[in-house]
Amino acid sequence: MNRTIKMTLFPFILAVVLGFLSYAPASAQNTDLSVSPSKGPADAPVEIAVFSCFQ
Amino acid sequence: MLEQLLERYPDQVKLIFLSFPLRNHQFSKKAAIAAFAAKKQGKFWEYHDRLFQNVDRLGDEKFLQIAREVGLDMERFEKDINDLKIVARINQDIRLGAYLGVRATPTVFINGRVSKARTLEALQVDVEMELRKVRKEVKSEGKG
Repeated sequence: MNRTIKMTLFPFILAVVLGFLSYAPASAQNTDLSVSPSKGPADAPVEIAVFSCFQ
Repeated sequence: MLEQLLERYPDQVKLIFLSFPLRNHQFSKKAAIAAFAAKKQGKFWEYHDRLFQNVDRLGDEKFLQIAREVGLDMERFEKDINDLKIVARINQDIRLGAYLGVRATPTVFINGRVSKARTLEALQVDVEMELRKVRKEVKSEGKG
């Protein structure tokens, strides 16, 4: 009985983990920086992106 | 420091702010939300500067006080700090940071590459290097 449950759950857990791993990078890459707060000319040849924390 | 860099390269450098509130800082995410609410009224950078001037005193009352000081429409601000779209936007920045390996702040990327520069002079060296690359690319495109 226990073995059956484990065998049923394993593919499910694997699918969730793989799904998350493929979603996270895709979601991150879709970040639209054009709507982020910025200063300086839009067509500047050098873009400096700063990850900041206010505290 | 980054402000000084912008002053030195007014036509060549664009600065982009990305939120990466650290989990061990109690008010950092709320501060980011407040700053983005200020952005909706065109006052992001004023709010941003005030937050950094008050890092030791951040809290709900301080967020409202800064909003009043920078002249925000308070009714709209109080509505916007509960806007789930702003939270979603900040979470997107956090996911991007995590994907890029950001672990501490500030983390600086120059034209997509992480910069280890911690002084104005070192940043200037990185900027000059990027400008040289761009000039070289323009030159080679001109030849082709």
